[in-house]
Amino acid sequence: MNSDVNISGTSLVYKIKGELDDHMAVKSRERIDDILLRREIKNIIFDFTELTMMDSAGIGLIIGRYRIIKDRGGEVLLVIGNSPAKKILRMSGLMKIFKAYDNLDAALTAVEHRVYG
Amino acid sequence: MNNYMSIRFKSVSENEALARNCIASFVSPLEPTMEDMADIRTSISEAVTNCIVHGYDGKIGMVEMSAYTEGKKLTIKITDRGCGIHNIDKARQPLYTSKPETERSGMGFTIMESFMDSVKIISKEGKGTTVIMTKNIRENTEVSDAG
Repeated sequence: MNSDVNISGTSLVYKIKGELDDHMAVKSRERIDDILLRREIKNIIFDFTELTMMDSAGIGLIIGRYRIIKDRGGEVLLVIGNSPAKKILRMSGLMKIFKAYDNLDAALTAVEHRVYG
Repeated sequence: MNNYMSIRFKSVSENEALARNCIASFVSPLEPTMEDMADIRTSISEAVTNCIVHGYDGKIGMVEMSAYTEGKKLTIKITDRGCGIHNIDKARQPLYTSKPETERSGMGFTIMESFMDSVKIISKEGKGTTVIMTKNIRENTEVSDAG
């Protein structure tokens, strides 16, 4: 599967490479939700820096995970870099709801500061 | 050069990538910018997902896709023989989804309309739906770093 999972503290970093369409969104949802059930995850960081395409299934994936995470008092962060996904994220208004970062380090720093700061 | 192509494929989500890659190859002689290419791929994804998820509603059917180019203008036609759309105006509205219980964002047609130059929907309940999209490929001034 074209995705990597990393857990840093209470944050889940989910990196998707290539194309995020309906097919990939369903697989990602199952994988993430399984981890959310088993682990004490507060925040989800979506790393889209190696994403080459995203359609509206990606929007559904992000909003769906946000609904779970907000009940845990956490947040969803987006790492976008120069991904072509930026256009659709901006168009759908998600860039106004979620904080977006250029690289993963910046997102991880922001989450840690929020927890410990 | 004017060109034409047509394929038919099974209504399964794996074939969304097939549809995207097919059109990407077809349009590549027009040397689209990366942004135009991403717009086209995303719009095809939305249209094909609609056929699979809404048209056939998980049942297996065939999706037909054809495309032609006239100079720098690309036209893509995507058809399913599924349930059809009850109310096209409603389906076009941003955030409207006929499946609110799922994680559908209701942004499909809105995305197609923003990313393509024109989107036409022809649908008949019980017969199926055809989406016709066009896009004028812009002159590519990007410097290739492919080597």
